[in-house]
Amino acid sequence: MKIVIDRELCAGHGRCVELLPDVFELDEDGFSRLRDGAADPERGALERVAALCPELAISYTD
Amino acid sequence: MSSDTITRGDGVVTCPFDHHSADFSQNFRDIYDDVRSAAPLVWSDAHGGYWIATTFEMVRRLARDSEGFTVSRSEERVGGILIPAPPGAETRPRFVPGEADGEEHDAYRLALNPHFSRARIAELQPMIERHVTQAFDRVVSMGDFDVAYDLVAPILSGIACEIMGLEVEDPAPFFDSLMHMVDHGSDGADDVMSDFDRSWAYIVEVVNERRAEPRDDVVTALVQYEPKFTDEQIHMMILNVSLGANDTTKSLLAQALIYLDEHPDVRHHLAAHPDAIRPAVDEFLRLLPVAMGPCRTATRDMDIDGVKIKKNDRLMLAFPSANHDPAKYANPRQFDLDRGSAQHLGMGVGSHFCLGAWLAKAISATTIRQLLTRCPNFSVDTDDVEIGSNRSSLTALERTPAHVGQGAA
Repeated sequence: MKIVIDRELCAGHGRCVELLPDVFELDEDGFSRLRDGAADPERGALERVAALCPELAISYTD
Repeated sequence: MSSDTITRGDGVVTCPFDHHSADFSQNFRDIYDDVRSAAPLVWSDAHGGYWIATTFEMVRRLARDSEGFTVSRSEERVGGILIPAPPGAETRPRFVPGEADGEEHDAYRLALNPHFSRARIAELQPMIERHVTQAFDRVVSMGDFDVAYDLVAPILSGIACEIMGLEVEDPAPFFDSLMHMVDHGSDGADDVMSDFDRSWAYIVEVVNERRAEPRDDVVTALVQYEPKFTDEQIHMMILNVSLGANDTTKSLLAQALIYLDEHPDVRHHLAAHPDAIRPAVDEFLRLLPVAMGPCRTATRDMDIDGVKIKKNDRLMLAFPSANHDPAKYANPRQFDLDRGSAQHLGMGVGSHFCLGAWLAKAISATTIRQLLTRCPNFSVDTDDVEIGSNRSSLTALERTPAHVGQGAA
């Protein structure tokens, strides 16, 4: 699974980090990034996080 | 006046801060500068005691923590999004998603978000343009007008009703009554409930109508949404969205027009460079105080950089203070299009980030663009502007008299 965070869109709300802390983390500027070596999340959970991102900055492909 | 901060024996920085005071209403900028430079978290004994988060980093950090800080009332009923809880807050149903937490909150946002996404709002631009044009047609024929009531309120209620699918005959009292249900402007709990009953009866009727005869609107989408919401959940979502559509954008645009009247250089720059209007809206959202500080309640004991917060402690997220934090924004009182202000906290941050952010920004940019082209010589009677005397939750422009000026068309 490939997860992409659009850095232009991310505004640092941190919803993805709150909901899937094993996959996402905040960088030093407060923007979201993928954790190194994170395991693929469950698809439904990722779908939910992508839909709850206030900026719709998260996309993914299998 | 400035706020005299005192560091207590336990290291907690306290100050005689009261966001309901006349002093706060007049001097909140200086007060926030003082408390922010004293500490990122400051304690006030007013209203039973509460923390004030003052710096950009602290406000953002705590606003993001929706598990540690709830918008709901606790078992002790001390919570809610205002300090103190306004009359009627304990008896009226909850506005959702604004007063919901966790998975329940997220279920409402999953249903509502698609109707207010950046892409959806771009599709709605012609409709937004139409409502703004109609409002200017009327204002130009009036000559003298009030920015909030004659120009912005009809735009907001017209657009909100069209998106939601409401047909409110007389929008102003409908939208005002929603505000009075949640703020301190009502005369008490009975007043709140009678306002509420009127709006509720109308919403119940619309939901029943859409269920019988679906249309292309948000009410229909909520009625048909799977997994199903209860009727009360749908009613409260509609009321919450309608509430959010009104006073904040009215405040922002009235203040923005005052700013343009007082700063001809900014006004001429935007008139000459219409592409700069959309980024200017973000800088206005950073610069101008609209939402003054929604509140939370701690769900557990915690240690925030050495500050001991206890379960059920109350917290105010001082958005206007965060937006003027010089550690984040140099020369914070200056309007600066080059600063890249898009991360501002003018519309909140985290799970309760403004649902209508993209809509409000599109409406604001469209209104400013039409103003600069259709009323190039508009003016505001800035000496006669009246701001609501209690700025605890919102900067409300009660009077913003303006003139369309020479050559308005």
